[in-house]
Amino acid sequence: MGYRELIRDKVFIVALAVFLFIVLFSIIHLRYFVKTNPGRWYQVPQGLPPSLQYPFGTTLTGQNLFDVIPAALLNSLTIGFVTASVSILITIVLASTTALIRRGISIILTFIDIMSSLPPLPALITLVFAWRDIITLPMIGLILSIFGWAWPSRALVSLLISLKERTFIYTSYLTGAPKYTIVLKDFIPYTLRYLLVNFVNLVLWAIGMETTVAMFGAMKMEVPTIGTTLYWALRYQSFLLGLWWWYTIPTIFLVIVVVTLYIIGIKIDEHIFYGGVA
Amino acid sequence: MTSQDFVLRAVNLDGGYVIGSSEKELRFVHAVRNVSLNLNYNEILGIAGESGCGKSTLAKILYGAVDPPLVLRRGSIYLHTSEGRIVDITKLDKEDLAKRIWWREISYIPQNSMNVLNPMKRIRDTIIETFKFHGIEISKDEVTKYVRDLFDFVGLPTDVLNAYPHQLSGGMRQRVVITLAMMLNPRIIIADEPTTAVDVVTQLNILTFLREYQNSKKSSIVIISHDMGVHAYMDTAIAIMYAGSIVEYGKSEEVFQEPLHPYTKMLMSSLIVRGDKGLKRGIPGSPPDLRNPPSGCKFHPRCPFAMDICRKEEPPIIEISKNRFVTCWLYAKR
Amino acid sequence: MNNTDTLLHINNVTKLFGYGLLGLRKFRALNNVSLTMPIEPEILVIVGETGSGKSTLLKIILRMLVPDYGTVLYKGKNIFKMKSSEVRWYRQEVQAVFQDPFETFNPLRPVVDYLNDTLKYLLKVRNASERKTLIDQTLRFVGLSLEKVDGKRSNEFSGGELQRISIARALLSRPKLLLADEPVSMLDASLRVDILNILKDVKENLKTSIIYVTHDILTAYYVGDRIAVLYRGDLVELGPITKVYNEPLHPYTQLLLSSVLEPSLDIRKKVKPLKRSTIELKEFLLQGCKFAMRCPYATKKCYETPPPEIKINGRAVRCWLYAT
Repeated sequence: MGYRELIRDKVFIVALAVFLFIVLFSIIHLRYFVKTNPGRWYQVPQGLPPSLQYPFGTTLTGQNLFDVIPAALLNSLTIGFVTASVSILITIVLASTTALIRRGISIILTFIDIMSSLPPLPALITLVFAWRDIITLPMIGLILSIFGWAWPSRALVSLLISLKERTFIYTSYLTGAPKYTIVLKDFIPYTLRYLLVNFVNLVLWAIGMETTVAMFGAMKMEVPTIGTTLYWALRYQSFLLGLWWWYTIPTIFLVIVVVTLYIIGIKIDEHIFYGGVA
Repeated sequence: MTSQDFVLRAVNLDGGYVIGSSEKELRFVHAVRNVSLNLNYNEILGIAGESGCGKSTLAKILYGAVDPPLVLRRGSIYLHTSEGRIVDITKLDKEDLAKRIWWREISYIPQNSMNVLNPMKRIRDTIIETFKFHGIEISKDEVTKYVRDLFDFVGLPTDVLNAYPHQLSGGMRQRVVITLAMMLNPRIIIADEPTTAVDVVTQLNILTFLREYQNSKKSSIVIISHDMGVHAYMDTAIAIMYAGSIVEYGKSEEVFQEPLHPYTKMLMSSLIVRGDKGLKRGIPGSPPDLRNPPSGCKFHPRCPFAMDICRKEEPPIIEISKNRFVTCWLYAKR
Repeated sequence: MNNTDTLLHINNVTKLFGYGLLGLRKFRALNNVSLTMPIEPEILVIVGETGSGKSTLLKIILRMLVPDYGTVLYKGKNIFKMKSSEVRWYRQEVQAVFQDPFETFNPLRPVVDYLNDTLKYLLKVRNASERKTLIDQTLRFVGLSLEKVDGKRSNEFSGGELQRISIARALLSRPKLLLADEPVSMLDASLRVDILNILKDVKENLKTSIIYVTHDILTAYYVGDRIAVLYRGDLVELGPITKVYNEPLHPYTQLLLSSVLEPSLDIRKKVKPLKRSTIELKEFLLQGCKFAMRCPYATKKCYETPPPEIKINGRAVRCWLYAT
């Protein structure tokens, strides 16, 4: 069951197809059709509404949105995936430590609790703002992961702690199997699905965070992301000037990417989590 | 099965669970097969059987709590109400059942009943609400007066009224549920494994209480249990279930002393009693999977007396003597 | 102490558990429990209700919990001061069967994996075909075979079959001590006896001692040689099972035995109503005898001072009634 059911689910297939189409289109478009850095200003006439030549219109900073949006999406996704990968890695290391050790669990738990209750936004704005001259895109992902790991770790630790008390783990100990075998055979199968779902959630969280942080101007402002694009739209008062395409179209694409990723996440959760034996 | 003094009579009940996630995969778990039963005035009827034999499903159906995935395909349940009318509770709608029948005529103590109490409410409020639902207004102080005797009977201090369920032990919660079930003086109590989760000392308390209560009110109890010790202690009459059917029925003295059906015989001889360390034998094999039961008599794969006909045809219900029934080809006159 | 006449020597073991909001206040889940098992095979039954500390004791013997006070010696060796090679030896010698057969095996893994792992890691049997032969042999001892078990997961077996497999897995290393934690309480009556018969067989034919932990007095009687009665962390009575059953000394044992519902019609006459019981933390915190609150013979002394262990011809009982 599980995986086979998943690939038969029409909603999942549609969401995955839309998501992949946007990503692939962006990559191909940027690679073969965009000759200059889409982040550069004053390349095209300013403030034109969508037309045949500029399907998504142009900005007051003289950028072609049809070029900017793919780049922005890819950059936002990069940040998202870096954050998710690093956070999940931290989660796995931390949670397995907690699962294997006997003493000191409460110290780690308290630390995780503190980290997951810290408000990330002010700290992130300060950090990114302070370092914005030297940071690169993946680094923004790293900075976001400072806060990204705490919440999934908390859940995973409690999952592992309850798993640790399951009788079959005791049986495994009685077979004399070394600890890494027990982790591999008993813990990983139960946590894999959980990690997969959390990975998707973290990508979503990071994209949202990036957008929020960028809206406060605390981002590498010359690099197009969904956040910076919206920031500039705001700065140039596109709302008042009626340049609706500048903020609407990036937002639509943000929503599409987020929603498809979300659907992919819950469908994985639905079929592999509950379709299996767990 | 006929009797004049019945309070509850089930005729040809047939039901089970419809399971499966999509239309194509729908499967039927045939948990209750053509069951007829009589619960008489002033008696304790035991329903015994192994896990998965359908006894809990039968209890739910008898109570009228037929909710999907459980479906009742056939059969009627006649209730002799306290006003002297006879109603078929399978024909009543949920609201009627809840307002007029449940708690007043029939109470049901579900399995693991310790977990049915609302965790957000004090016991006192749960009780007041139950009264209110049946149109009886009662004040906070009156509750204490009302339940004092009942609580004393089951061995609960009245402080329990002010406690939340999580503050009580499993055994105490179970006793609270039992008191709730008796509060409106129902004529019938259906108790599904009322003592599985409590220790032996508490078990004996609860059972003794149920028995004394039944005796003083002249009410009737259906007690469902896998534990033959419980049946030996409680039952006036006993029905043995196997794979959804009642395979044997009789006065409990008769069934315990002279079991007829091969299953009952083997079950009785596998039971351990004190003072006998001699080697016992269990019943070989496992109970059948109700999704895919064997043909003919459901017990034939484990039965040492199985004949050809047992594999092919379901055995008829045979009346051995008055109120003594067995469902087995060995007793059929051919 | 290096006494090789005893298989297991539990010496004044106390285990504290925290309770309350921060878990800072402690109660004794096990209170000064001492027990000795001889080297000759026997089935020792540990009887107690929920919260009596019987599972805690089992976990301590399995080295899965460390006691706060006291020692556990196995063949003269302190099991909590073992080198890793000794731990492996101890795992071979002491194995366990758990209560819930459906929880014993990971539902995502084939059941036979566990038997294979036991041979591979615990006994270092490298040869795969040799492992197969050993597994088949052991499964046949419990009435199954490799053919019936191979490749299947736990949801494809009945509870009775799983419990047999669980026993077979525990027997693979030819242990000298088998811990059985309520092995039949989840099984149907018609299947129980057969599992109990296997346990008897293990003692008779494999010369393995068994600690059978249960709350079920009747199955205890059927398999047991000796019985230890636990109440709220106290070992209140210990002795040969027939003696204890015929003439229980401790008032709690008396109450327990008189509450048993035997599947025979005689019990209707035999059993009489008794004092009501409540499981309360209060009882754990009593200074003296934990049973005092429910005991019909309780005196002031019982509430204040814990009763000493009193030996009466081969039996031990903790009760002031028998103090001279």
